[in-house]
Amino acid sequence: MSRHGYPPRVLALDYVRATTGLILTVGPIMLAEPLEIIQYILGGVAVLFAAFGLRTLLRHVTRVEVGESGIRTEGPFPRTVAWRDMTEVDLRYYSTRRDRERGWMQLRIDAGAVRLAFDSTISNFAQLAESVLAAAERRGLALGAATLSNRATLQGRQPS
Amino acid sequence: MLTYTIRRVLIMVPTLLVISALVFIIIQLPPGDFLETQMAELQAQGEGGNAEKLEFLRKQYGLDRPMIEQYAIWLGVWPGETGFAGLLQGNLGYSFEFNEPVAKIVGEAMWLTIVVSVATIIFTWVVSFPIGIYSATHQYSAGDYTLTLVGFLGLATPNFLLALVLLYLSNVYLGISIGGLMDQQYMDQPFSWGKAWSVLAHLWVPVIVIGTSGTAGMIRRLRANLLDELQKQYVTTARAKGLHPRKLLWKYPLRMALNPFISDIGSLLPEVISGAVIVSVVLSLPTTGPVLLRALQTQDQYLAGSFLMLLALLTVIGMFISDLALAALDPRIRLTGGTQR
Repeated sequence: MSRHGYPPRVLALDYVRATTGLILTVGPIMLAEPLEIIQYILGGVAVLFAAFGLRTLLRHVTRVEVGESGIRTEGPFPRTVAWRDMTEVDLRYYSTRRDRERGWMQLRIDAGAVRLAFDSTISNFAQLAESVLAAAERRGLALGAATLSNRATLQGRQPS
Repeated sequence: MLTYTIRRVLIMVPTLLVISALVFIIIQLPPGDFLETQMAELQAQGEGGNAEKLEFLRKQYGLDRPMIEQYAIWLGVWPGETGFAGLLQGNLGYSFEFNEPVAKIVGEAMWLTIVVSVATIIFTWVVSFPIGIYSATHQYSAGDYTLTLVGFLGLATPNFLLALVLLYLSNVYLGISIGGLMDQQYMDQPFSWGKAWSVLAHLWVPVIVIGTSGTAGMIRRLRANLLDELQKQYVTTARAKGLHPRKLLWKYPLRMALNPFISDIGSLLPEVISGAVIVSVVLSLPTTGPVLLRALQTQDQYLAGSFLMLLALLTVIGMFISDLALAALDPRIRLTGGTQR
C-alpha cells in the first residue's frame, strides 16, 4: 500500500496561478468597463480560474491511497475505485513549451461514472502510475499508444 | 487538461501585453506623428497649416500626452478625454488618414478578406492532403518525384511573382484582366447575388496565388511526418499481423501525421484577416492587407496599431486552439521531453 499527496510548494504555485488569473480577468471587468462581449469572455475565463483554485484547494486536503484492491481518495469528496471496476486508464503528457520540455503527466482513471485524475506533481507519481497501469493490464484493459509511450518514459525506457 | 488550459491562458496574457507594448512603441518610433506629416505636406503645397491648429489637433487626439499614457488609453485601462475608450471597450481608435473610425474601415474590407482566406485554406487542405498521402505511401515513385518537383517549385516561387506572371499571361494570351475581386460595376455596391457570383468568378486567381506556397509546404510536411510514422515499429507489427494497409494507414500513422494540419490552425486565424498584403496590392484586391500597408506607410497609428493588435490577438488565440487540439489528440511525451515529478 502506498500513500500520496500534493506537496505544498506545488500547490502554492497553483494558488498563485488561480489568484493571478482571477485578478487579470475580474480586474478589468470591475474597473475598465469593457465591451459586453469582452466582459463575457473575461467572465468565462474567470470561472475557469475559480474552478482551478477550488480544485487546488481540494487537492490540498486530499490524500490518495493505493492498495491491493484499488485506489482511494480521502478528503471532502472521498472516492474509491476498485481495480475490477476500472474501464479506462490514460497516461497523458502536457507541456506549454514549444520544445515540449518541462511538462507534466496526468493519470486518468475511469470507472463508470467515477473519474480520478492525478498530475505527476503528486508525490511518488511513478509508483502510483505503475500500480494503476499494472492493475489495468491485469484486468485486460487496452492501453493507448500514448499511454504506453509515456509509461515507457516514466520507467526510464525509450518510448516506442 | 484544466491545468494545461489554465497555464496556457496565463501565458497568453503577458504575451498579449508584450505584443501590444511592442506594437505601440514601434508605431511611435518614427520621428513626429501623422499630424506633423500632414501639416508639413500642406505647408509644402503652400496651403495653410499653423502651429496652433497642429497643437489643437494633437491635444484633441491625446498625442500631447506621455507615450505610456497614450498606450494605456489605447488599451482601455486608463481613462482618456471621454473616460475608458480603448481596445478593451471595443474602440479601435480613429484613423487620421481616412477620417473615420478604424472599426468602420477594417469592417468594410473584412468580409472579402475572410472569403479569400477561407477559400485559400480549403484549397490548401483539399489539395495537399491527398498529394501528401500519395507521396508518402508511394515514396520514390515517378508520381512522388513529379509531385515533389511541383512542390519545390511552389515553395520557391514568391506569391507576388506568381501573381505578376498570371496577370501578364492572362493579359497577353487570354486578353482578360484578372485583377480585383469583382467586376467594376459591383464595386462599393451593397450585397447582391450578382456581386456574390462575380466574387466567386474572380476568386480562383487569388486562391491559387496565395495558396500555392502553403499547399507545397503542407505537402512536404505531411509527407515527411507520414513517412516517419510509417517506419515505426507499431506499423511493422500491425502489417505482420495482417491488418489491411488502408485501415492501418487511416487508423494510426495518418492521425499522428495530421499534427501539422492542427498546428496550422494557429497561423490560419491571423491569415484570415491579414489578407496576404503584397499579393493583394499586386492583384488590386479590396481586402484588409492594402489598408494595413497604407496605415503603416502613413503612420496612421491607431489604424496600424489596432490592426496589428488584432492580428496578434488572432495569432495567440489560434495558437491556443491548436495547442489544445494537439494536447488532446497527441498527449505523448517526445524523445527530447522530460517529466516534472
